Amino acid sequence: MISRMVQLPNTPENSGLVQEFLDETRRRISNGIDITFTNKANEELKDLALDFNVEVADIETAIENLSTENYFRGIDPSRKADFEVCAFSATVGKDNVRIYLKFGLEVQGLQILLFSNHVPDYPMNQPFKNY
Amino acid sequence: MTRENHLTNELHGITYKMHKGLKLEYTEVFYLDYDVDEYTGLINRNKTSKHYTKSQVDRNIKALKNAYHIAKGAASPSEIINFRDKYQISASMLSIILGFSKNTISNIENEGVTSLPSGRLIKMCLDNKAIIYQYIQLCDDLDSRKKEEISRRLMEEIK
Repeated sequence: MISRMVQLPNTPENSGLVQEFLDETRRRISNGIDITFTNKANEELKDLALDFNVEVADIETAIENLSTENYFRGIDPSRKADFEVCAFSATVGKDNVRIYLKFGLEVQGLQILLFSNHVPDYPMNQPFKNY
Repeated sequence: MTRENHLTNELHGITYKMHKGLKLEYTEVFYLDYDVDEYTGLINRNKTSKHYTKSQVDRNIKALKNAYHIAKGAASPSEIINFRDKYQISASMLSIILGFSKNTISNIENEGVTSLPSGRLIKMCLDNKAIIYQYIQLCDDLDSRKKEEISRRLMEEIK
C-alpha cells in the first residue's frame, strides 16, 4: 500500500516542498487548529496508548518537531488533490517509540487530518536524512 | 463543525477492542465527515466515515485505559459510586479512609481509573468490607462519632 505514495528524490527543490509542508503544519497548529483523526488513526492510537502510553499530545508534539530528515513519502507536486498528504518516520512518547506518521493538510481549508500513526512493519528509509 | 463548516452532532457508540486477550468495551465519541482517501488526498463526497477531534480522541483514550484497568482488576467508577451510595460515604471521606488525597475518588468517578495499582486497591477494599472497616478504625482524620457511624453501616452488612 505504501508504494501508492510517491517518494520524492533528495533535491533542494523537493526538500523545500517538504519544509513548506512542515511550516504550514506548524503555522496551523500555532493558530489553534487541532489535529483531526481518521477512524484508522484513532484505532492505531489505541494500540500506542495501551502498549507505550502514548497520548494525543505526544502525537501533536511529534508532528511539531518533524524536520525534512523525517520525510518518508508523499506530497504530490501537481497539487491537484483536496489534501496534500505526506508520511514521516518519527519518534513519540517517553519511550521514543519509532512510528509511521502520515497526515494531510486540507488545501481549500485548514484541517490537519491524521491518517496513520503506528509502529512500522518494515524499515523506513528516509531519503532526506544524512545517515 | 464538518470540513465544509456544517454543524454536526457528537455521536456516541459502544466500541470493543481486543488487547492481549482482553476484550475491552467502552463508549466512544466521534463525528461524521466525508471520507478522505489517504493515498490520493481526494475527498469522497458520497461516503462519510468516523472522524475524531483532538478532544474526542483524548476522552476516548481515557475511556479505553479505564476499560483496560477494569479488565485487569481495578474498580470501575460505577462500582465505587454504588458502594458509597449504599454505605452513605462521601467521595472525599472514602479518599481519606483509603489514604488518598481528598479529591482522588471524585476524580476517579468522573474520569476513570488512571492507575492500575490504585484501582486494584480500591477494588480489594470494596470487595472486602473487613479491610475498609480496619482502615476506618486506623484513620486519623475521622472523629470517633463518624467512625462509629460508618462502621455500624458496614458491620450490619458483614453480620
